[in-house]
Amino acid sequence: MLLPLPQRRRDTEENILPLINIVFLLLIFFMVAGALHTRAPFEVEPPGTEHADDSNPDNQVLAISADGELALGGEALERPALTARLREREGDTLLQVKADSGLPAAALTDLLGEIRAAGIPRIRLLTVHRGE
Amino acid sequence: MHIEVAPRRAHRIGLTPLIDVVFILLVFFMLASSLLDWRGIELATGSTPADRDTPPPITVTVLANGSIRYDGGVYEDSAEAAALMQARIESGEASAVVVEPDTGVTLGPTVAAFDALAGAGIEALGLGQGR
Repeated sequence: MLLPLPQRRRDTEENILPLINIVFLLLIFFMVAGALHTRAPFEVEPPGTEHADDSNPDNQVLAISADGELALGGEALERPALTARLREREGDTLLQVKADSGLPAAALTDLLGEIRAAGIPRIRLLTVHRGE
Repeated sequence: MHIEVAPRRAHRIGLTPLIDVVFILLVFFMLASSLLDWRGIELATGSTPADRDTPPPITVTVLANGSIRYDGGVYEDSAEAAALMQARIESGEASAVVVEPDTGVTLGPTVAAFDALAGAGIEALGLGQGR
């Protein structure tokens, strides 16, 4: 009986070229479409909206967890320290706030009053777009 | 004198290290970046002194289930309530709408009600102090 000889293996590098192409495309997609942000040391799930305007978070976002923990620019801090830090900010008028949707709204309005008292005239509440 | 030059060996760069690095970069960007579509709500400051001529704002309360209490009635459909408010603003009876969360209401329903009123065409919106 005559068995066919095993075919000579082609160059393995040639075989993985399509794989590399795909991986490169995925890499470029995630680099372009994704955004790198400083993250708060706790989980924050922002509320959803349908009609709000576009807004990209900057690196000085004030994050508030559902339990009322605070973090400014990814760095956890206490409430007295927060007002001190906000008073240091000059010329920077807009503060973005990323608050958890489970946070009692009264706690947020309370805090916003304090932020305004610290001299921040514009506050923007960050939300996530919810598709219709 | 004739010096013999060693024949240049064709030097091929291996693809495997390249792929390793690209894979690591890919994993990094997949984990570190977020694809969320961020939006922002500008919260009006309460510091603007009210004009004497400006009519008072309408105050509505958001209940825990997301419905709106306005003028004694509870509206589950915010568009219905928004139409009533819009009519009052247009007639000059009121200047703005202030959304107030009821006791213990979380941010989720409050922002949803705020957003629904904004979507129904009310432009002058503010977030009031909760109780």
